[in-house]
Amino acid sequence: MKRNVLVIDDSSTIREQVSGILVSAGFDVVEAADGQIGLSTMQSRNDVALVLCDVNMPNMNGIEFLEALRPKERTPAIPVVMLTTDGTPETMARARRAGACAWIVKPFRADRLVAAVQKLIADSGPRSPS
Amino acid sequence: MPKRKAEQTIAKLVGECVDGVIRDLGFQARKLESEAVRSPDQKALAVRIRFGNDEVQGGVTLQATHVMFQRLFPRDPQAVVVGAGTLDLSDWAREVANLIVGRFRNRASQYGLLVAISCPENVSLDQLVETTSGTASRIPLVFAIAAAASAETCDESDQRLDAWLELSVADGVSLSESPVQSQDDALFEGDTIIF
Repeated sequence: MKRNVLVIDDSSTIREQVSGILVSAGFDVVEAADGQIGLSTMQSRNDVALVLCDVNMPNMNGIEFLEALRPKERTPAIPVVMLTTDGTPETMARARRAGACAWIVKPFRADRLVAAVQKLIADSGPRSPS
Repeated sequence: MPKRKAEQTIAKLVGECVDGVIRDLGFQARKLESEAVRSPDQKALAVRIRFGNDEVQGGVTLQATHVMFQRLFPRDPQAVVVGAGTLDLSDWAREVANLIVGRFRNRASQYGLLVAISCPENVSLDQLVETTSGTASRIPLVFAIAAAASAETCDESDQRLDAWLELSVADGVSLSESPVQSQDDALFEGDTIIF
């Protein structure tokens, strides 16, 4: 099973925190500082098992990232989890329509983050590189 | 003091959100009700984040010493240990502001106030001195902060967070004095949902 997680957040502090948590749980992590870089990363790699993505970011926000990512994606879709301070139903609904599969509100608990990542990667099943 | 009820409600919510974030980070916060915001000084680190819609525009500025922001960084043993030496304090200060105003956006939505928020930005000392526009209210939110394990609070410069809210509310805007939307509709800090 692929264990690479792409972490997209404009805060280097949050990226380091999340990366450390995931590495401690046995995942490999790739980081991106905004949605545009995240999208480029997704287009250049085929070994990402899950994306953790902030919403409020410069250049390309998390919703725009999702809306740009999904049409270009091969199936099955890679799970994208939004990790954000935003808990409003309006933003969640838009992200869900764009293909988000989970939502975590910051500040988050490390154990819940790891549990969600593990479940979503397991549920998405093995995916062979194309 | 804010004159309109909408401003009062927004100021109350922002104050509660500053308090809530500080508590989430493991500290006790005590609002210094009559305290004025300190003048900017060389030891301060400041960050600003804006929020708004067509009728309400606002911004929250935080100012504290580097030591204070470093102390606010969570040391959760369940989480990763990020070495203090590698901590980018300017980035962390922006994230603290993001947590506060993100929380405010979620609370405000329960009062029927939907706002977008900006990306937080660091503010220079010169920028801090600038005055706000003539129509905006400037509401101080000053907190003394102490470790949660300690009952002691004090207002030493490195145990104090100065915040202020700049606010401009269009005529005719009114907000409920209490939440009108069910808590079930929004998610809050630490909530996780798999669709």
